[in-house]
Amino acid sequence: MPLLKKTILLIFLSVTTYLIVFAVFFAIKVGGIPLVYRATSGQVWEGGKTYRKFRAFNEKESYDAFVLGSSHALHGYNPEVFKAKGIKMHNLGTDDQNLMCSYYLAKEYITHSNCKVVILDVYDRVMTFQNLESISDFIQNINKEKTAIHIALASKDIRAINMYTLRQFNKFSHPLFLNKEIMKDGYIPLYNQLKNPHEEVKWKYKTNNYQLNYFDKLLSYLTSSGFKVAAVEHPLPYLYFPVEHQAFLNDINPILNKYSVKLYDYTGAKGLTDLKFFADENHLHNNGVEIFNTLLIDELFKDGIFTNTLKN
Amino acid sequence: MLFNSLDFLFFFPLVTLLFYAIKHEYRWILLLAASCFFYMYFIPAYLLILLGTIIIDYYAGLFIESGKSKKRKKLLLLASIIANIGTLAVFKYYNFFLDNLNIAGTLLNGHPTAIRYIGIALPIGLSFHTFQAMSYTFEVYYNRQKAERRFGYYALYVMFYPQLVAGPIERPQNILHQFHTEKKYKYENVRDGLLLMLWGFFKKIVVADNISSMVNIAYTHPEQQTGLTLLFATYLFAIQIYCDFSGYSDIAIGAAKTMGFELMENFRTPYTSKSIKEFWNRWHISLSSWLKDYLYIPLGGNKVKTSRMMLNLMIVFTISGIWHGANWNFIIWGFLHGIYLIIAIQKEKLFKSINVPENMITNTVNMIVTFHLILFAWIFFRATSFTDASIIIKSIAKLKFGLQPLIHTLDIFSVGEKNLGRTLFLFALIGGFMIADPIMDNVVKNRIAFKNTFVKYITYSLVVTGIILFGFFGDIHFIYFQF
Repeated sequence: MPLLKKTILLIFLSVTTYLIVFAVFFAIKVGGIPLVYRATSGQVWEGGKTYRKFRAFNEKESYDAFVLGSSHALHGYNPEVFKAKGIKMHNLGTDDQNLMCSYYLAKEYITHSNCKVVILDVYDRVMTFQNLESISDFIQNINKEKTAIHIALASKDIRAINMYTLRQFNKFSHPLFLNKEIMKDGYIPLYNQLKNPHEEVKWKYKTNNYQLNYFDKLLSYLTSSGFKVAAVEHPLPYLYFPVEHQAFLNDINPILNKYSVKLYDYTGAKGLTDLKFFADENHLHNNGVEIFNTLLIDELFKDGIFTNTLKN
Repeated sequence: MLFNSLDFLFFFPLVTLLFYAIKHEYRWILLLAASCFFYMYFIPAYLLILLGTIIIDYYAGLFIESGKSKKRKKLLLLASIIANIGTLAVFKYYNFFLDNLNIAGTLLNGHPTAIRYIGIALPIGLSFHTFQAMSYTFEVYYNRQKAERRFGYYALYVMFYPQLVAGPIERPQNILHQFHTEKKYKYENVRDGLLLMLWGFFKKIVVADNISSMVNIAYTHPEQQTGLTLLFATYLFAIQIYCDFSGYSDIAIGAAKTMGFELMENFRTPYTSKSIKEFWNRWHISLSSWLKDYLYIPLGGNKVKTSRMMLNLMIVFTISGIWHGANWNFIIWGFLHGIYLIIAIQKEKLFKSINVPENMITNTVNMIVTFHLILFAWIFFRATSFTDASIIIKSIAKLKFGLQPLIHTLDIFSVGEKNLGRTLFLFALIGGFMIADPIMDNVVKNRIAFKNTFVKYITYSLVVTGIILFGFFGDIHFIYFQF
């Protein structure tokens, strides 16, 4: 079988060549940054919010609730506000977090011994694309090797080979940068005040089956595992387009109904439409978060997602 | 299904392994089923359109062959042409036609027509398989090909998955008989096919797709760009379209070759052409030879008066432009190439009469001039409208050189990644590719270089490494899919 022999030889040589070339591109630094970051596409630097978040997170500690989702989750759910209402919450939101990453977070970090309720922040703009940045962020920065491998494989993207190789090479060096923002139980508050919002250009929602598929898988996993689940959409008055939002709801409502999960939709946003509550066009600042979280917690108590037994 | 998708990575070896695993008499069923599956990955319902034209052309072939009189044969050929062109007209040109009708209506009557647009997507590769189907009925009509008796084999001729959606546009004499002949497993076929595919993937994923984002940045809002940025983007587009389309052809020819099928060559280092005539013998060879055989020669070819020959050339190249897309820019692109060719023929005559010698200097000058003529026409091909093309040409005409405009240009190209280092790296990669391409083209097509086994394997390993490490794996279709 000359073909088989030669194919195996070529694979072996290709893997060796790949690792050598990668090592060279990793060793050569341009402006202090390994050349491999410049040469390959879609690489997120090691270090930053996700790196810090998962190294600070103690999964053996018991919580009442976890929050999953993108930057709306990261900057929009304050554990202090939840604590004041008797709920011990930890924020697992990360920038641009896609639902595949949320799914593996849920599977590999959330257990019955550390959590009872999962709050899933959904955002139509994040759900319109696959979010390579999120995949790269998790592969580079998550603390568990197993989760990094699972996310790399599930991405079905050849670039994940480079991302995972980079993760291994990075083990021999320090992170490129470290995030120094205030972080409390995974929550990063924003304090600045939006002054002059950018004029928003028209935006169109586009169904992304990849994200919807993982939305379905995530809800299926959480509900079948016995967790209480609440889907929430963060206040978003400046980027709110009713027609596009309805198109998004048309996509997710059948999945929410399938698993009897209620959506707490704050996009329109019940007392939070004023510019003064926002840090930028997209995110509430810390005071805005306090109002939003209080409203949400009260609703969750009213609907029985949070109960007084959780308080005890 | 896209060649540059993970699905194809499973589909291709599975189909090839099954092809060799089953008996010859069942292979056509496997290939036809695989081709249907491949096509249905885009929009499944469009298979019905393809099936409709296959049925029409299959029977047209049989009836043309058995036709008693020349007149009857001609009528049947005409019916087949109308069916094929009619399908193209409805799916590809109807809305374009209506657009122009509305403009005319508004100019003449002050309001557009009341005719409705069709809100459907163009079936993938429609122009390619329509032309391939038409070449069959033409060949049967000219008695150069026997009509295929077995419907399944004829369907496979039109649908053979490697060349179904973007060619090469095959001729029945070349490929139909190959489906009837038993293909024995040959190591050389698999090896040569895989190497051709490997280089095709490199051209598409590493070169074309990486360039694509830079060209898109410049061409999306040309009014916001400087002349230098647009000039760079146009050079880059010339490389992008070559790598994209010839990469696709290499993958298609290679995939067929692994099963022992020989498809026609589609590209032969076209940018080294010393004249526009030579360019068309090296660029998209299967289309240019199709147009020559079934349009230019029946119109009279070279055997007519010079003025008529010029008209024929303009007809052929304008149709070539229309074939590429329902847009005035494509028509202008084809028209320009027609004009180039007419001028080139006159220049050739003049140079012969005054005995201009052919040497390295004249060849180099000719090559540079030819490339820039092609480059100018690419502006119309790539720009989204005639207005955009005009803006681009005007900006390039007023371009300013210097370090500052150059830095600005590099900065514009790095917007997608916010990474100037990456742009510089990609420029180095493209430069390296331009040196390596003629050598690799020779290696994968003719297998005459690399006598040293070590050098050979290291080169192949570097190509694989290049694809994985530097490839752009975003959702980018092949440019010619839209045709």
